[in-house]
Amino acid sequence: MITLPMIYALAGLLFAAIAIQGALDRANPRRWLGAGFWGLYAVNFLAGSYLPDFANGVLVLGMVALAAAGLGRGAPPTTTAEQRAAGTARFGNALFVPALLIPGVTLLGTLLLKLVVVGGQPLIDPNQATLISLGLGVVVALGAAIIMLRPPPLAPVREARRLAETIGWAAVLPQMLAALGALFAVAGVGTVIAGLLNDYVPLDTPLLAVTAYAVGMALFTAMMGNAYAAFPVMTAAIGLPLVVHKFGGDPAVVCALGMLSGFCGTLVTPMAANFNVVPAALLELPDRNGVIRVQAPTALILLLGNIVLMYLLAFPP
Amino acid sequence: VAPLQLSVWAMPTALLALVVHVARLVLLDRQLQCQAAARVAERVP
Repeated sequence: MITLPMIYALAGLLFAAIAIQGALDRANPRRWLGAGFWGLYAVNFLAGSYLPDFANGVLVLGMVALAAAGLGRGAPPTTTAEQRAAGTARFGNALFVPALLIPGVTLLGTLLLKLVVVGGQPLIDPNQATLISLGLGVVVALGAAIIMLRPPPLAPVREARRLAETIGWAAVLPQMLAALGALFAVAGVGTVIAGLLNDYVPLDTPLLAVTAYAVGMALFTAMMGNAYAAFPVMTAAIGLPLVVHKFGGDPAVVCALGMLSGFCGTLVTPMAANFNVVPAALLELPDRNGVIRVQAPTALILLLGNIVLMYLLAFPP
Repeated sequence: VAPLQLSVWAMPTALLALVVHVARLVLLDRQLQCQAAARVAERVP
């Protein structure tokens, strides 16, 4: 049976390969810091489930220290601009096939792989069908890309390192913020927010509760910089106790639209620096808030839309 | 809650986002065309 730990091991091996290559690249004067960062991340994937929580916490703190010191960037061998142009001319839109295979295999795998039984055992862990299918989708897409493009054998790992070093520590941000959100939820931040809201706004109709949840997700996301951190807190504070349990909302609808309301907050906050501030700086826009200014109207319309949709869809007659 | 259900319920918002974005791009195109027309009008007396 294919289980989630196997997919984690696959990811861990990739990050380990990135770390080893980084350590060997003399072009990066800070190569040991970078290798340490990706190495600790690899340990997190390979052994995280077997380590005690305290050890995992120390791993994360180690990563923070290394990232704060600066990871540097190496110079992995890659294709030239001419080779890329030639490849584009040769393959055209077929270049998108490997990328589109990932969502395609994930969707089909989620729907169908649960049903496959090999030797009396299910082929994949049915509880984790989506994540395992995503992992398999990546493997299938990599295979297709290798067959199509016939790159040098080490190219996949080299390009993985180039991408990882380009994004830098921000690559691990969604995972870390989701963990932070879970910590906040365990620490009871959700209960405090629910208490504050109850003191000032009477959330005694479904529409008010839905509005408070969606606007709360957007605001808390704007503060935290990421919806993954806001989601566990606001869902524990308003989403589950009020919208789902008290008023009988469908949890799938409430959670999906709650997350999307959070993304409306992402569009308008400088805290989401990698989306909203870094591009403005890289493009040397005269207005540092230019990206946010352009995104704000869309964000507000979509937040309103999410509230209406949640109110209409979450309470089936 | 299955992840697939979450994606299904994200579709209405995806449609709405498409509509909003298309509408904003159409408005932007019109604005740019007006500006271009105004510039041409300035040059041709």
